[in-house]
Amino acid sequence: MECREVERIIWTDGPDAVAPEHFVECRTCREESRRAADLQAALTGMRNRFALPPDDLERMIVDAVSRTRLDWARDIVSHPKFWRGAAVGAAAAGVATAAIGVIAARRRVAARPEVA
Amino acid sequence: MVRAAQQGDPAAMEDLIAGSYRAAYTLALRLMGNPDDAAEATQEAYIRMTRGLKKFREVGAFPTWLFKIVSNVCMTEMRKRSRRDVPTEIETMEDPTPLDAEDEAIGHVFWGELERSVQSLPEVYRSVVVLRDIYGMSGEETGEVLGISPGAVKVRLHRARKRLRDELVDHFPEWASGDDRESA
Repeated sequence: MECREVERIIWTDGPDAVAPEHFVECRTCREESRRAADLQAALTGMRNRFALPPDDLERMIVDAVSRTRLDWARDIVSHPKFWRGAAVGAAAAGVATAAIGVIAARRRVAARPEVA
Repeated sequence: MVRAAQQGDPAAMEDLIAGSYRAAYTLALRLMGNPDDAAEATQEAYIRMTRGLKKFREVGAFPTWLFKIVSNVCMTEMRKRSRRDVPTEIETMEDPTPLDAEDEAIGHVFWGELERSVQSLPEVYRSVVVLRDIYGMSGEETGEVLGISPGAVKVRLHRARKRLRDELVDHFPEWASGDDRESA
């Protein structure tokens, strides 16, 4: 493999993507590979380094999130579908209650001893 | 904590924010390069996160998910308005790992230079390096956020890394020659 191709692979896919035999015989590519690995490690390390955020950012996020949750709850309650669903639910509950009542009444009647 | 927040526990949500907002803000700052824009984007990202939290299933992957939301918000904002190029306050970056005084001095110079080099990249290259190399997104994920193909991600990444290499070689010639290793 040519050094130019090796260099392209080193900086695109990383040093591990190159056959190690090439590094044994080529000092230039070996050095380039070391630099690429160093840079990669340093960039990964940047993930654990944090910027100092503005003092009030945390509070502002918490407030914004709380408002979002309230708005979301309000949106649900104010949406016609919610009330349609609630009305359907209430009607269904009414029908179920009535059905249970009818069944219970019939059972009570059936259980009553017959009067001669 | 994520599960409790999903179930509407306000204390858990506050803990979730407290434990993640600095990382989210840092990512936004690295992408946008401006503290005010980054703070605004971070807030917007948390609002979107709250809206999507109920449907979020992979609890263990919360940081990755949050980073994707932050990146999407930042990229949308940057496409909308022309980017104001105010330099990032590099010296405000903190390393959580305690070092001895000498290491700290060397590290401060190195990290400062690296951060500056990343910030000085053109936006098309910087975003790829930040998402792919610093935050570990895959080529596909990075392409999705940036609206480009994984192939284009690869090309940009190659150019960005070589630019960073050249910048660092200029500032740290001993690193370029490997002399620091030989003498160590």
